Amino acid sequence: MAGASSSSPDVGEDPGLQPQRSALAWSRTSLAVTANAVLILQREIHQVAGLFTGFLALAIAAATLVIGRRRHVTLSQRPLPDGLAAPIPVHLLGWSVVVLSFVTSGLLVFA
Amino acid sequence: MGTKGGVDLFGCQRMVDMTAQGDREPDQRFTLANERTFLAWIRTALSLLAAGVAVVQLVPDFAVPGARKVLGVFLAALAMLTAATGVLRWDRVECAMRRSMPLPRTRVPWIIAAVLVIIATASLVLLALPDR
Repeated sequence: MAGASSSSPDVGEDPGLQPQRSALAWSRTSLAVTANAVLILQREIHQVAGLFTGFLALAIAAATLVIGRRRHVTLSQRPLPDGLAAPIPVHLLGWSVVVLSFVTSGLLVFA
Repeated sequence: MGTKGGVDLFGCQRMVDMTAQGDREPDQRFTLANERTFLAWIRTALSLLAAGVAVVQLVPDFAVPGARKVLGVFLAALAMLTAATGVLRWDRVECAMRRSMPLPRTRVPWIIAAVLVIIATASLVLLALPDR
């Protein structure tokens, strides 16, 4: 999906709209985590376990938002820097969501 | 950048004997596409988790006591599987692209679909059961 106005004759060098789409995908994911936080806090705020789980979700949402902003800054550079792969943010978010799902399932069982 | 301080960030350790050929930075668009695919896996996991919470908290109880909790926990477990798959797949795809190898295959979408069909069927049965 290369941009219409390619400054380089080689289409492969034009990142097109991919950097914007990637930065937006992080924001969208942050919203999805926030929705979970709201859903948990809405009904479970009166107990410590629910409060903990809800705030864990809020913390993940905030971290995802920060990563998205940093990603946006990185991906706004032209030309794009080398080594774009971001293993640490990917692992941080991915395993956090695994832990959040595990804690939430415990909440659902014992609530 | 494949390995940092012994940490196998790209999951390329298994093919360490091939490092002689050297890692090549893949096309940036492929790297970004891989990242967005990972985020899509994570959002799928979050949707499944939200569905699990909603089943337990917002849906009126079925005729079978405890059925909501079982459905909710199934969905949360599916969310764990989906999120973990997203991370592991990001690693493997990143590794394959660096080695110019074919992208790895996965059966996990098949498993997710099968479990969702089971959950949907169970929900239908529960809804059809008469109260008491």
